[in-house]
Amino acid sequence: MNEKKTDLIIGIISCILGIISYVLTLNFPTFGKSGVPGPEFFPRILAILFLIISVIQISKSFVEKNTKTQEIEKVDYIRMLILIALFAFYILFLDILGFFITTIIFLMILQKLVSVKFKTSIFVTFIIIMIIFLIFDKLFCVSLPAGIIL
Amino acid sequence: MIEALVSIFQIDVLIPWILAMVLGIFVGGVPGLTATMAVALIVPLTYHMQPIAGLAMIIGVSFTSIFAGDIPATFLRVPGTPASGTAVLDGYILTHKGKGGLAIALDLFCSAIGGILGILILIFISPLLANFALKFTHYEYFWLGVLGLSMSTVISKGSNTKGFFSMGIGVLLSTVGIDLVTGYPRFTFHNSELMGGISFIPVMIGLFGISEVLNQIITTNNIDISLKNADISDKTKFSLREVFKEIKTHFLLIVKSSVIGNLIGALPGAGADVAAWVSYGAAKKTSKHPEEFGNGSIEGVVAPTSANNAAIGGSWIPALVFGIPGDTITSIVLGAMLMYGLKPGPLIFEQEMGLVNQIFAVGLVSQIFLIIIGFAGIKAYSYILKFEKNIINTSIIIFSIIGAFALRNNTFDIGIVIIFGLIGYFCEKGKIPLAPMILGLILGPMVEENLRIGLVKTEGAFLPFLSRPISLVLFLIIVLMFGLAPIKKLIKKMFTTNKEKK
Repeated sequence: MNEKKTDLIIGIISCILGIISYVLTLNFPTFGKSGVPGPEFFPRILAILFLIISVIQISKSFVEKNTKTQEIEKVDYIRMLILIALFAFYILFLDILGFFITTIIFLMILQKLVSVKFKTSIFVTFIIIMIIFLIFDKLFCVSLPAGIIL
Repeated sequence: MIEALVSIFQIDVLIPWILAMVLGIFVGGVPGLTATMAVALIVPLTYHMQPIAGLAMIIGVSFTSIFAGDIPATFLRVPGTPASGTAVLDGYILTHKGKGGLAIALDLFCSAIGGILGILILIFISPLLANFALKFTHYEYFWLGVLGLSMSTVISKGSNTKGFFSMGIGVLLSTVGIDLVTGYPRFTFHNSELMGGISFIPVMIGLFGISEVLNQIITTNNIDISLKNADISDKTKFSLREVFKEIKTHFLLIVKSSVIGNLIGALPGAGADVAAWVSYGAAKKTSKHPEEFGNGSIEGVVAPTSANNAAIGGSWIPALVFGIPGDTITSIVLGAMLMYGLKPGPLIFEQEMGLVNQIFAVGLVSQIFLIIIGFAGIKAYSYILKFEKNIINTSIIIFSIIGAFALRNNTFDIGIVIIFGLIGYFCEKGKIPLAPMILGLILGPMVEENLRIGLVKTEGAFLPFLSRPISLVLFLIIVLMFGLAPIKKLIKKMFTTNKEKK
């Protein structure tokens, strides 16, 4: 991604953040006497800061020349989506399936994704689960989620 | 102090401490894993220990990992951590000349000396500063917070606006939750989890643990393959006598670089990496043989490595005295200390003097451990490279997740880790510095509360914020930093030109 494009994106995000946070502060109640700032005071300053940043960034992106930077790294978007889905699966199912089953499924799919050999991945999964179990459950007495089934 | 020394040699401090230092060699030695990442992963473990054991782990891992980053930099020309970017210049050339063993041994000893000097400065300066800081009121703390935030945006890499953007996000996040002055819930969207605010440690784990791993999994590059078969065991030989002779010749330079490193470490937002570059530049400017820099100069090895370890001690000064982090690692430390129920600030030197002395003692003793563990690490380095990167990445992801979960037994925190992992990843892609965001998150409440409580006291008038001598000085420093373009350029120049020359 080139500089011009990044600057524009940051400017737009900053603008959205500024507007949203300002609008949200409109619902905040005012406390006490006038002149003494309430809970809305500080977020509004930030909202204005974001709007200023967005103006600078967007105008910067128009001034800059469109330089073409060579992309050395390739982003694997499919991997990224699978990874996000995998994280979502972990959060949703941790309390239902319990720590052991969820973690085994998570680690096996994750290692498949980054192309670790199948036999190695079984071994690694076993070791990681044992370490986590011993440190957190046995040493620190953190109760790992047991799930409904187990 | 002797009491503190004895107390840190208990088994339940010593074992986690040494384990963390060994882990530091691994983390520093593998390119892509950083000290900050290690600290973020360690903090959830420390929650269940006594505070000094946790702090010893954090201090230990920061010293060994910053040294170990120089091992691949010296032998393979790949910096293991951002702080070892300078070691690829002269260290690697020395390896080519067959002096790699000498370079890395010097590196190790100078790291330890720099570390000791850094901690000594911390020991002497911080109680004095704390005494001074007792005079501070809401007005001064407000400006101090603003100064910390502005400094982090000016010093951090990349454009200032991006730094401000990052800082703004951090501060905005810190306003989520119940407003401490009035008790009104802000930006919570009726979600009970958000009432207590966005918990700090999961944010850290996401930004510094997950985001780099995501980057490595999602983007493909092929550095790893060439590194995997590297063997350095035949290049690590050196004679101790030669090492000590070089240390003796360059002792003044070591002291000078350590002081520079320490000062830079103490600036909010600048850590060991900046310290290494600045001291390298300073050494080159004042050297009798500047032409040797970049061609295997011993001075070029000695200066940055003393500075980056001395920076660690420096970064603890504002953290302990004012509660303002000196770098990303001490930001995590401050978050961890709040988690333990400790409040950093000048009062800690009165109320928790025992703990403060223990921190100092750990810092000093860590340097002795650093030399022993460091040598073992150099010898074992070829094996460290044999670990498969994908398995390391997998382990980091699952330990980040479980670590975040274990803090409060809460799946919501896992979500925070992952969201901030993604945010961190996109920020890296857009060259947005992460340090201002973290400082914003830590300093946001400090700035806001002191501003508002101050304004309540003055009934809305802003003038008292400027009329006290110390607050006026702090305000003028901030004005100078932004108002005078030439000074700003100079600061920028000091901190970035060296980097760009790379």
